Amino acid sequence: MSEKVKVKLFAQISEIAGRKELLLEGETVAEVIDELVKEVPELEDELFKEEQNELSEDIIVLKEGRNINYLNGLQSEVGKGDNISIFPVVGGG
Amino acid sequence: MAKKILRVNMEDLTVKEEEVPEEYENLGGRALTSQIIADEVPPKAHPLGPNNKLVFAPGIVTGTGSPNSGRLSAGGKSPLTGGIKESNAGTPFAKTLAKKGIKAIIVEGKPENKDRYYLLKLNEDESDLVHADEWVGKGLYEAYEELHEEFGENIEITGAGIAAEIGASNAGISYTDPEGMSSRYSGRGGLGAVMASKGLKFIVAEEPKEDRIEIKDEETFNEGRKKLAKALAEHDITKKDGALNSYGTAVLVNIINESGGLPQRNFSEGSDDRSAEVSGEKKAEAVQERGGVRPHKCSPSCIIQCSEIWTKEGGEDPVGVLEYESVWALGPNCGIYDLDTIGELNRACNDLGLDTIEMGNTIAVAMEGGLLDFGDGVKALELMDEIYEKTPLGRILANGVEFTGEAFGVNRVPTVKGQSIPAYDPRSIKGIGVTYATTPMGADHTAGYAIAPEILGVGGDADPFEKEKGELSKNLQRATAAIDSAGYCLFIAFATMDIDEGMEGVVDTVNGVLGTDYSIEDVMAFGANVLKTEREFNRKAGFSKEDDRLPEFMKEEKLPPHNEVFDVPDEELDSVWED
Repeated sequence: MSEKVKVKLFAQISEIAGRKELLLEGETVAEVIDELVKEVPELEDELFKEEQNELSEDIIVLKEGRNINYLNGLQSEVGKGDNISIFPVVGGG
Repeated sequence: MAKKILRVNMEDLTVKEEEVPEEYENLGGRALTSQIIADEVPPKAHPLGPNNKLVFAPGIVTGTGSPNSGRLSAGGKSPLTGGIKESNAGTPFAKTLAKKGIKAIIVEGKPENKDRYYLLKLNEDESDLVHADEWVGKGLYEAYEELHEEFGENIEITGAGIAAEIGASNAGISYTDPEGMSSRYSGRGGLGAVMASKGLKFIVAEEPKEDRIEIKDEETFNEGRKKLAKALAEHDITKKDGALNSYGTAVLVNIINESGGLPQRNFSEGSDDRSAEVSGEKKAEAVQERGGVRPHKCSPSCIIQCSEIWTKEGGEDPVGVLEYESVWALGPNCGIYDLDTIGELNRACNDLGLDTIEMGNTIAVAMEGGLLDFGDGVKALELMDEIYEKTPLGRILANGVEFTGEAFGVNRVPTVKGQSIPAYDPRSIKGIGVTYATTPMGADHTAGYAIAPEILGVGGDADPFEKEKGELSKNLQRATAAIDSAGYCLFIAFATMDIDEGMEGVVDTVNGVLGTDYSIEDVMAFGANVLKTEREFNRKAGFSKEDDRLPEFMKEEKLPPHNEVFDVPDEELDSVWED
């Protein structure tokens, strides 16, 4: 039984989705993002490369503050109460 | 017409024009200020004594109309670090100097009467030093309004504020923004105090009728300019409606907070949910609701336009931009999560002539020392009044983080070489820690911005927890020294690190202006040479590799939420200086 995780959306991603936070289910980041796209179909083009099941390079996904690229990518496991944060490419200084 | 160097002697109150020596011909910006300081200032000179000098230099391409080329470097021996300092800013003042054909201004000596202040007026064909005593003790917003009334609207201004008048180590140098307000800064390192120590209160530069910009190879320059403009227009961070244009630099608040690297309450934690209240997204909404301005350019050639004009509610009392660093320093780092309080603290810094990063860190250390509670914005604003009134407490605070830490018995003092650490905690983002530790400037994120690959996925990818970051920081520091010398805004690097044509554009424009044939490798070597000059000055001033270290508490205290310490080995830090 998968548990709810908090998905936080930022900057343009949040504007496109029209919301900042969702509670979704899934046992991996991939499953949670699938749920996210079902809930907010407008995000599919933003999050994925065209016609591939790969995340766009223009997206940063953190699980509990760690970029999933340095964990197990989309297959990173998520647990109850975990936070997933999704950003477009941002910069400043 | 050949470019010139203006030598301003504050002892005998003369201004002389000098020819540019051959060895300075291909230098500009940081390369030039650091070289002149290395050549002319004894490394053991007292920063506020007669033998220190203050140098201003526009970049190589500044004034040409190449995109984002409106940068000006200020250099000297820093009262904050005791080492060499270059602090650059984006301001219309930069292009005005460049168009006047001024390669550098060297301010030296000090007047016999230490209570006298002067204004350097750069007219069309001559320069004058006139009395400026009437502006002593006055805030810079009001002073700039009065200077515009007196000298007309067609001027740009550089100024030293009230903090500089008391010789404060955290006094920055202020410049006009496009609206004529005191909101652009060579903030870091106390160069405002160097300026005031020489009795120089303002420089007022009239926009020249005759443009003296020289471009030796127009064709190469124009090709380069187009390549760079194209790269900036394409990259997600720098393009129109991209991250910087839409939300400003404070767009970083959320991602650094979520990454566990946004220091809270004097570097005691790395994230706090309340940080979202002061994010770039929140601020952009508020600016729009209030009738402020966003996007906005800090200087005429900018096409990124990350700046803004923050105001009080109702669009009243403009402050200028609230940058990411300022929002963090005066906000979450002090336990303050309210943009209006941050805006007023930023206004006070701009008005007094203080660096926001150092001031925010100082308030946080004062909070740690029990002078006020974390989160007490009202009391924080009252502390700024102590500086206006030049009280003993105000003087302590205006001298920065280390001085204040000592005064209040605090041992969590976030500094390197006397300069406070900016808005990225190096325990959870280690590459930026290598830059903080090793740059000749004291803790400075802009000196080698490892955040780009570590967090933002720009210019490659690097795990922020990975410790082997010496090579990364070295290359970034070299490239940055070159960009700071060219006169480009560092933010062009977001695009040029990912788009090769953009980098070619940078090199082409420099070659076009100078008539040189530099390659990208030559540019990196140029940057390495600037660093070498700066480090050699610091060595002679008394620094060794033992000073290239982060504060002790960062190696001992774990930073929540990741509970990391700064564990990059000293040998890795020292590798930055190996060829």
